[in-house]
Amino acid sequence: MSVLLLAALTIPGGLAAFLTFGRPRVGLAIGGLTSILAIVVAASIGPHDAAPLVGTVVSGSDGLRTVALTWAAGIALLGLADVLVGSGGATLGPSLMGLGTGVLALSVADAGIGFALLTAGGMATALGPLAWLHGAAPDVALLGLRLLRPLAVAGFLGLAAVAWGASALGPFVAGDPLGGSDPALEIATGLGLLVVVTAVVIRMGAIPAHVWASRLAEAMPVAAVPATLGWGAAGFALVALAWVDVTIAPAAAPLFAERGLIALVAATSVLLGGLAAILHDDLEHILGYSIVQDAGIALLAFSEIRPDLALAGRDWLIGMVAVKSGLAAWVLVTRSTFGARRLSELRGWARSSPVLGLTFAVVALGVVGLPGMATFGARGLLTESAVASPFDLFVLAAAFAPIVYLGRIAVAGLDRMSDAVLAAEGTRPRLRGIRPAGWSAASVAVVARAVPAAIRANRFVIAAATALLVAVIGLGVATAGIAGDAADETLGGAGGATGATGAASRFEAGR
Amino acid sequence: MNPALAGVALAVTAGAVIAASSREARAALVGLALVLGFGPFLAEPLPGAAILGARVVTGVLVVYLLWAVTASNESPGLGSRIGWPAETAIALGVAIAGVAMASGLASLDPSLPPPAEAPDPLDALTPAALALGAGLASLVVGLAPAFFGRGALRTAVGLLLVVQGLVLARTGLAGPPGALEQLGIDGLLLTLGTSAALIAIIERRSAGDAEPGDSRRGDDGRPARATIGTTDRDAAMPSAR
Repeated sequence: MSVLLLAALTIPGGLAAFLTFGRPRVGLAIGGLTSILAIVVAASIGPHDAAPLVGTVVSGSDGLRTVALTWAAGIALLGLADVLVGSGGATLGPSLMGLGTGVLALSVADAGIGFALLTAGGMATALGPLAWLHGAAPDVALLGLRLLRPLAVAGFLGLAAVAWGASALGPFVAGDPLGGSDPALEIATGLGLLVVVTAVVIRMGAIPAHVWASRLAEAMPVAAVPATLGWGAAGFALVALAWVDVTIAPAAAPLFAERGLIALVAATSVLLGGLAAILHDDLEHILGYSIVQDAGIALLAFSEIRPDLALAGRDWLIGMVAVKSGLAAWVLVTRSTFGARRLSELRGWARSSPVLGLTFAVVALGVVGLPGMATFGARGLLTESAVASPFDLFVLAAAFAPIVYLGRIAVAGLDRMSDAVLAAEGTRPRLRGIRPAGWSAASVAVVARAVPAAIRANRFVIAAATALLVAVIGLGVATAGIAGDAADETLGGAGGATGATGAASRFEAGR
Repeated sequence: MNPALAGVALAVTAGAVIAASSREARAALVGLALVLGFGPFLAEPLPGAAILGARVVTGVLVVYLLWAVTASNESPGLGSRIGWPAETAIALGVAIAGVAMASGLASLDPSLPPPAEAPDPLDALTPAALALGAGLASLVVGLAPAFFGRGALRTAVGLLLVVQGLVLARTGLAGPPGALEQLGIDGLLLTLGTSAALIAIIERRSAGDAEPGDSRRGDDGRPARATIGTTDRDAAMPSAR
């Protein structure tokens, strides 16, 4: 029931926050309240949480609770930082709608529902903030069309693959377990796998479908990036993994060419995504291309269809999205605090703001990882199993590109302070001067009236503390992972394929 | 053959051609209304009344949203470059191919009875074949406006035709979607229509702005960063940038 409650809370709540954003106080009050309630409801999701919904069962699990709780907390904290120092909270309502549809999509055993809901949620998350952007309107409209098309295409391909899987051409009806391997079915199974992986490549912005992701990262408010490219895309990939597990894996076709092609695309994304993050000088592109690189590693889970790799893929997806939410929060606050986005303009940022320095250290630890962390093990397993030796070592080495691009940021932070950094307010707390009479010698009412001014004066330090909290949550998820939780109760649909049960029973009936 | 279902399939196919080829916004939206309004009826068995009602109301709502933001204004970029006769020929060809495919698929499904020795050609027009034919027709004529359309309205019309075409093709291939999936598709249609309407509003706002390609555009032709991603709040709080 908690999953349904979460969807019933966040979808209308997010819509109301989005529609009332023209009156910022009302919109933010609705969005903030919905975010807090979403965290509470997400924390109550559990394995015994099952409820019927129009012919389908919506069920929870420990893994889903981890995902929903981290997603909801990320939205609330990033939303708070965005309100204080970013776009004013324009991303809060759309992100909440994405949360509601995403968690609902992951709770049903039907990939068709999952792809439809996640595509709808992705569109709302990516395009909603456009309504409140005051840029050059032709450019904003063009950006909207450039974001709308890839999101739609990914959803269409996912739905098409699901339709094929449940049809008479799919493995449930066409496959004859007693008749040996059928070359036509093997080709069809390979094409089905390629179609759904293409959908994932486009949705996650992996190379060569990275252009829209790059545009999103450079032009949209930073708080919209983890919601669209992170959580929504990870949910899409989780549903795709579940569909492959149910539809493609039982066919037991070797699919050498298809798996090789997927591994090639994944390795290209890992190599070039990391290289692009190293070469770019501005924070938004570094964030965007680091997510592209993560997508490449996640794609490796599709190149070898094995249960342990699917679990490693889930660990990697959720852990990295949580960590990259922390990186996005750090980018948002750093950019706003110093009024600069290029590394050359941000020299000395860490010396000026120790809180942001600590946040960055936590993010870097989560991104690079340490032995024993879930994401560290998942990355090693995915590269080792999916890429042939000795190329796996190259891909694994490229997967550690964060050491270089995050190292550059760290070195810049310890350099002499640039003019932009020197001129910035910084993130030190300011308590003096807000109330001349002092805090202790005044009545409660007077102190309460001074609170808004105190928040305004300290907005950068509050935002920095918020970013630190997001980074710590991300590190926790990256360390613990969700594979153990999800091993017994599949995340993204236990059935995994639309009509799978119906098609299988038709097959049985016909025999 | 069910004559009513054949009529519905014909209306959906005709609506798709009108939507994809009309140069007038109102006519294109009427065609889209035919596709979105009649499409849910192309299934056997029909979904429950509540689900059917939700699908039809969503279709009407999406068309109304697009109508509200575009019908009273000029909508550049509408209309097919190859003209409606060519679009019609393509749609009919694809629909016939879809019916033929459905006949072939029916012979693969072990749950269906074997075909008769000398079947009547009209027997090929089963509900699944009609859904697959109309769905593929809608999908194919929607591809060009969806991916090469210049304005928000034409892109929206194309994308909505592709979604509805996919759903119909899925109905023809694997039977009608479940109730929750129908509602998920409803959500997808509504979000797609609303997103396109939002982009159309921004386009309309741009009528008063400078032409694209002016100084706000970067050297590489990409949107200039300084203008996008800022809000009124940023302007009011310059220190926050």
